[in-house]
Amino acid sequence: MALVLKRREIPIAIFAVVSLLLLADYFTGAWPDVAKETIGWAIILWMFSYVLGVTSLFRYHLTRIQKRSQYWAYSVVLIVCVFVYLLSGLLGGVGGFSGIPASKAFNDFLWLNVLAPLQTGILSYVGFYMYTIFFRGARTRSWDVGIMMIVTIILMLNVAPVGMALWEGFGPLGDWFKDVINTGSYRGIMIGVGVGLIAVWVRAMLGYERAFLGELSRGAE
Amino acid sequence: MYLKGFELFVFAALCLLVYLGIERAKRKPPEVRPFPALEHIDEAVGRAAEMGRPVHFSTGLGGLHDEWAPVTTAGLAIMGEVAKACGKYRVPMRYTTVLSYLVPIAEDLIKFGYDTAGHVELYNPDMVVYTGEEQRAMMSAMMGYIMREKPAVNMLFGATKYETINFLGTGAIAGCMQFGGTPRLYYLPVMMVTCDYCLLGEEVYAAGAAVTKEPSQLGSIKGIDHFKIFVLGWMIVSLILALAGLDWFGKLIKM
Repeated sequence: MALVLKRREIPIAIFAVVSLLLLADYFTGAWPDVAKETIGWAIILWMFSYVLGVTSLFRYHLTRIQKRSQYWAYSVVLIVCVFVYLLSGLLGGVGGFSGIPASKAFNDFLWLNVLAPLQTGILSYVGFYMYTIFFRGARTRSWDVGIMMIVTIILMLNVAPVGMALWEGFGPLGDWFKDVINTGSYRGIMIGVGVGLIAVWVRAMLGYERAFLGELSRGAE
Repeated sequence: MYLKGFELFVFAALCLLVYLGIERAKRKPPEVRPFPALEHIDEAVGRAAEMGRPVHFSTGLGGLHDEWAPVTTAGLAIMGEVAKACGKYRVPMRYTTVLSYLVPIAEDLIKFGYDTAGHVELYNPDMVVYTGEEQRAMMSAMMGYIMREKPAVNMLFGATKYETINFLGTGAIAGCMQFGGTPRLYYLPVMMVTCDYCLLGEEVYAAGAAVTKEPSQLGSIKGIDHFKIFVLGWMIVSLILALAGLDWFGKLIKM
């Protein structure tokens, strides 16, 4: 029995049945409830897989602590944070079972005064990187990238007030890039993306694409 | 109930062309366009071996549970080949993910890659790092890792979101050789300016097949190319007929 369940045909068959069902519903609208239920199952299975992720996380960091690897102290911080936040959530989080006002206050403190500022801090990197990436990391190694960078500068001058003050032509020129060049290439790329997506699905249905099963993709067998 | 007739027709036509491409390739291996990003993977991993530094790979925030599943699958397929190259050159690799269910899949793929290269003893489960189901945790984990360990090669293939900016920006600052690929339009420019080699748009999907160099897989790329010619032809005919005042051909799309 175990050997039968380990056969790769089983997950491929499940994939085929489920995806055909969802596709049939998309094209005909015949089984909306079944499709919704199936997607719900996928989410439930995903939730179960948290156990695997947490196991991997703890194994990785406990090994680092045990071996006193470089920067192992960060692993200690992570594990302590996981347990403190877990405990705080169980006692005073949404649906927490302790009923002690202090535990809810502590949970709120962690959420509002520790986690939220940290998350905002990491997010702020995105804006900072976005504006400085050209100076810090950009690699203008081909004509394509060179053209893209020139267009980027024109578009920045198109939206920045200083651009129009320098030369009024940045307005219509930038708009032309956005409305004609950008929209046309965007649609072209989107058609390509849709085509590629379906090709991967066909390969997976035929059993050639097996990376999602943890196997290297192979040719016909 | 309803019937999306035109969409179904296009979908069926594309599936048929991909299938025929695969079948034809079994008889006669096709020649497909080269993907520089894939052709230089071996060279990049060899560079990592010379420098004595690891290779870092990620598929970004996209997973197998949403509309981006095919691109994550293609990213994982590329990772399998990278693992094989890492096994060949005896280079350690690390895969960072934000999705728990990708952990066992990635572990299997990396182990399989090292095994295929004949060095399964180099495989270590700690090569797969789960950062928790939180994008910002993943971003900080990857940025910290890149600045501390300075991997020789940094790769990002998948349905990436705004972690792309921090991930590849940090890699560029750390001097990593960078490879990237995503069909997500917002992040294509970032990849273009920060990566040494990148796959744009549908190239990522095709790369999942091209990386194997198997004729049957390459046949699917031929099928895609034939479909694109079909779409282009349809657009040109629609345009000519519309200019001639006959718009019934273009209206077929609304069926």
